[in-house]
Amino acid sequence: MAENNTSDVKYRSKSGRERFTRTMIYIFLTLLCVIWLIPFFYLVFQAFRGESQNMVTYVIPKQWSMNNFRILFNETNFLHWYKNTLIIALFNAVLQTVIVLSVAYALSRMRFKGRKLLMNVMLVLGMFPGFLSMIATYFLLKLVGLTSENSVPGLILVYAASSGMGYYIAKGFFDTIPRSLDEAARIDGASRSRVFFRIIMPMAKPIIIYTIMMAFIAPWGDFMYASLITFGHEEAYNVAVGLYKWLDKEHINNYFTVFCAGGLFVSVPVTVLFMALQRYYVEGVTGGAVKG
Amino acid sequence: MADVKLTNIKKQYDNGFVAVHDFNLEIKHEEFIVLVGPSGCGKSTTLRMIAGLEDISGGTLEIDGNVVNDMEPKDRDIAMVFQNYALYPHMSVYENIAFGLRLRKVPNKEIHQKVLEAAEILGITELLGRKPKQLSGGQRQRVAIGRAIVRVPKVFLMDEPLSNLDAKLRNQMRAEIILLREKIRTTFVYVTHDQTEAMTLGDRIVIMKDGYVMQVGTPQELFNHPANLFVAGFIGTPQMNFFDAELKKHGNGYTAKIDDAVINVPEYICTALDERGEVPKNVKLGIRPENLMIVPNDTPNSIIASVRVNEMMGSEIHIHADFNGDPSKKIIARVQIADMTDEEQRELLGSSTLNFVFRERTINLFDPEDGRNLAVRDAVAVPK
Amino acid sequence: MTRLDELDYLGLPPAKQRLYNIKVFFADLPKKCGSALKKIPSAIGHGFAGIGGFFKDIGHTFADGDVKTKLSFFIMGFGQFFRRQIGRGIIFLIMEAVFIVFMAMFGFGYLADMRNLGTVAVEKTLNDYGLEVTVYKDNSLKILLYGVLTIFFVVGFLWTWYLNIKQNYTAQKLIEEGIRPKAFKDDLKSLGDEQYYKTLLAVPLLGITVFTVIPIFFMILVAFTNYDYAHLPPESLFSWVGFENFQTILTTDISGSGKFAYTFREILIWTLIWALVATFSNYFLGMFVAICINRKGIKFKKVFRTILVMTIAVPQFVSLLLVSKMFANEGIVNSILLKLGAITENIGWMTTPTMAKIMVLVINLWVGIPYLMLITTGVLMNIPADLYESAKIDGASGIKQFTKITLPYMLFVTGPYLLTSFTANINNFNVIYLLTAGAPKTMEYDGGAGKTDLLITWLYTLTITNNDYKMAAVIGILVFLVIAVISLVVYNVSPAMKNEEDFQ
Repeated sequence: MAENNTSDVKYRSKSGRERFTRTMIYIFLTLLCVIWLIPFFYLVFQAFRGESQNMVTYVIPKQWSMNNFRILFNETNFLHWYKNTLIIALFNAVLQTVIVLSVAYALSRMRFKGRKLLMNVMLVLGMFPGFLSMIATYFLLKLVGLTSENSVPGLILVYAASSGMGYYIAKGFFDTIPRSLDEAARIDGASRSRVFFRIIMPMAKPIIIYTIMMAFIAPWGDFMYASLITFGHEEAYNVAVGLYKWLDKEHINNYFTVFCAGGLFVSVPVTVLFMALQRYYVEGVTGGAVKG
Repeated sequence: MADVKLTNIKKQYDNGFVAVHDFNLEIKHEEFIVLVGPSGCGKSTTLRMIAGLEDISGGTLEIDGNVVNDMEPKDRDIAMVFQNYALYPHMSVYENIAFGLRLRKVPNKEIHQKVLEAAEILGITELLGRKPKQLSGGQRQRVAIGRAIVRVPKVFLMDEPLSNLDAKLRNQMRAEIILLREKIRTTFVYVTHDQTEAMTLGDRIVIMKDGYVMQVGTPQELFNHPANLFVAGFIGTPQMNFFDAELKKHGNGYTAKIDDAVINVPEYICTALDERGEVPKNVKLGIRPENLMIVPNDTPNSIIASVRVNEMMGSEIHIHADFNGDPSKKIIARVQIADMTDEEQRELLGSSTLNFVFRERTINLFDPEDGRNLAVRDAVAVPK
Repeated sequence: MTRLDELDYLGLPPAKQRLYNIKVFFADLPKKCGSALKKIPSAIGHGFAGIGGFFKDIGHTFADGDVKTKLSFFIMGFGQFFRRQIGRGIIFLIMEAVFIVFMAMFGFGYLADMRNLGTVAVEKTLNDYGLEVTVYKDNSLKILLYGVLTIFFVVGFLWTWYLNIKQNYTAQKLIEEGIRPKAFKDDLKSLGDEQYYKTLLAVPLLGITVFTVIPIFFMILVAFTNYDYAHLPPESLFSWVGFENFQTILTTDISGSGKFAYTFREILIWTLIWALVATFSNYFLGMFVAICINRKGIKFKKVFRTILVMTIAVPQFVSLLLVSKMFANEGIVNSILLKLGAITENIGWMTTPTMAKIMVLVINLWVGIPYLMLITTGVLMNIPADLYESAKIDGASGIKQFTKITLPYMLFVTGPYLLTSFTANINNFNVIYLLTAGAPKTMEYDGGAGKTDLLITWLYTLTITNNDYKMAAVIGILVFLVIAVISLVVYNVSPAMKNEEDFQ
């Protein structure tokens, strides 16, 4: 009897400790989520604040209004910037996906002289800060007239051209497809290009979606390259460069809430898209271990 | 007609490693050839070179008299079954089987007919609409074979097709492959590491080690007259026993002496020894476990061994024993017990030492230096 | 340091074994680093040996070639015409023609100008009406740019030429053996099959060459010029200065004129600290969050994960700019703290140097944890469950399981990721630039740098604001060297990165 009791107590104390740990974890995770969400609530509140356009010392607006959006669309170049970014993103999604998948497939599936060398060269090139090559790229683009007012095609070129160096995740995915599938298809009578289109591509849906998604989202957040290429030509800005200017000392008092409205207008579609395809992102990043 | 001829075939990888050295073989039309050997012996590499999936570093490969070294796999008119089946996961079973025909632009009607025919042969007609994911291992195996036979290839290659199946299914599929072969008369090259598969399936067996061919022959030749110590040890379970023996000439014949036991060397070996001229004094004597026979104690010319373990298999017993009580000299004897009474069986299982004599006509003699069978002409030395 | 043999080592208690491992690791570190660095000269040696082999190959081809092959050395495509490979022949011939025309008309001129990058920048002349006008003559920038393009053009041509003679030679040998060389039609067909990689890689590699390799080569050259705000084309010229810029930035005398070197050194140190702390803080906290979320019995896993992942979706320029404003001196954080009475005057979150450095690291956690949470979740799920089961049966506690199984496995698998993440952090432009833009600025620093500036953001400021291209180029090269050396050493020291195939 006595023995039973002690084991009972032990058991209960263990489950009690477990319950305590779990509670602590719930508290921690909830807190974490709140902290992570604060900036977004702040963004929404400020975007719909009607009483003034500067930074204020309180969070909840005194007067809700769509005024900031009216300013955004009617009195600024925001729609231009938005259109620029959208065009860039769409083109980039197509070009970059084609390039990344081509490189990844070639390096994963084919064995040819210089393959290792090529991979090493790309690795070494990747060690140079991207902005360094951007300076010269800027002069090159300027030479052919693809800067300032023609920045949109220029930026598409810049983003897509070097994207072949980011083949790692797609290659990692292709590497997990058994090679015997290619071999079986080749024996069945398929050329490598057919293997690529008829066998690998239909199986690579997750990684195709992941690549398209990343290629589409990246241009929305790029500040560094866009600010250089579009330098001095406001209509050619992308959203990041355009909105950035509104937070400097001269503009912030008149544009802070407009910035928030613009930020919201940019973030919502991108975020919705991202969340809708979250599964593919999670699978891509975790190498398929987590089904989102 | 589809002969395959491999002449001095060599495979060397970029890092210098040689996977296959100087492989020579003529495969006749409709012959079933099995390549067998331990993992890493080069058997799969050889098969893949025949398929065109690996570049050939040296030598020539001919199919039907044409050199195909640089021909793409799709142009060689071969079919292959892979170890992991390699079914296209996004296609139905029907499409998997039809894929090769579609690529060859066969008319749709003909494709339909051929797919149904192949499915009929393999008994997978009701599975045609499914995806590979929904199939069991054995069913996938059938689909993979179906994909290969539908094209009626010149050469049919199989790379360890049964190794992913469980033991029972494996036996069943092995029998089916024999039947399949009766139905589609074509040339087969089959790779396996399992010597039972090799023995039961092959018209001829090629046994390989470290990239070298050890012996080519019918199952019977390999079993009865292994060309060297490696082949002797690889073919047959339990493994052949080896003894250090002393060879002596007696008149016309030879005897081999193991400790005090004197064994008469069979006549055909004596002839071979005489032809060799120079005969080594010390040899390795090999004898299969089933050819050690239990005899009463003190039988002349018997060897004595202390029993370590008995494996009761039902109809036979595998006796693991130490020759002369020396634990470094392990021997195995395989004793049929079907006609023993229970009492006799129990007595046998209880004995701690046993005397054996050799079934003399079954012995093989090997050169202890290079491992070659002294009676087999052109035997290959065991690579170091 | 005395080495133990294997059995003695295995006989040590686990704690001592670990101590021994650590000792061995550090004792070997200099040797390993040394051997890693020793590979550089040998790699260069291999490179030269390769070039040597290349020339030997050409010589051999010429000596052994027949008349057609020999003539192809001068008239590209010649041999092909006579070997029934007309398609190839035409292409080679056109290439040669284009090359000769280009070189005669422009190429040699550009290359000759490269020597001193121009002599006269502007000339004032009187026009027909007697008014003074400015005529722009030599533009160093264009000369350098065209020169670099010409160099790449020449290299590309030489490669084509080499291919041309190689193909001739192979065709010659094939014909001697009685085999008909491939026709143009077969060539095209093989681009969809055996040589499909060429089709796949052609455009991507062209893009990389034009937009990465040529620019990097150009900027490396710029590092050896005096191209800056005082030498801006087209008004003025810039010229070669040798290693002067490297001397400026690496000088040890940091008083007075050495301010630039001082700035560089300070920023380099902060960059390394930033990269180290940012990488590992994100890594361990991300792992901690992942373990919490994935713990057995925790509900709403997906909700937690989704909320955290959402921050990855929101463009950083929105979220980070906003956060930086929240922590501004008059920002909402200070306002609320003042109202609550927690502080009496504004805290300079982003304006006092130390505070700003801490803040960027903390805010970087906000950016990095969700990402790391995902990655580590992926790895966690891949740890074989039977490892934990056998550990539980052996009686290991939760913490023991973590230190004995989770952590080693994680470090092993994510080793390469840690390295890429470290180098990515060295070049983490977005977080720093959007949060502080390098501020607080200080008079101690040269080149418009601030206390939170990383090398990459400083590089940006030097280019955009200061037009100091020469120094930007030098810094870019040094960043590359830092990353390359670290990668090389880590690659050689860590056991997990040796084989590409192992990680597939």
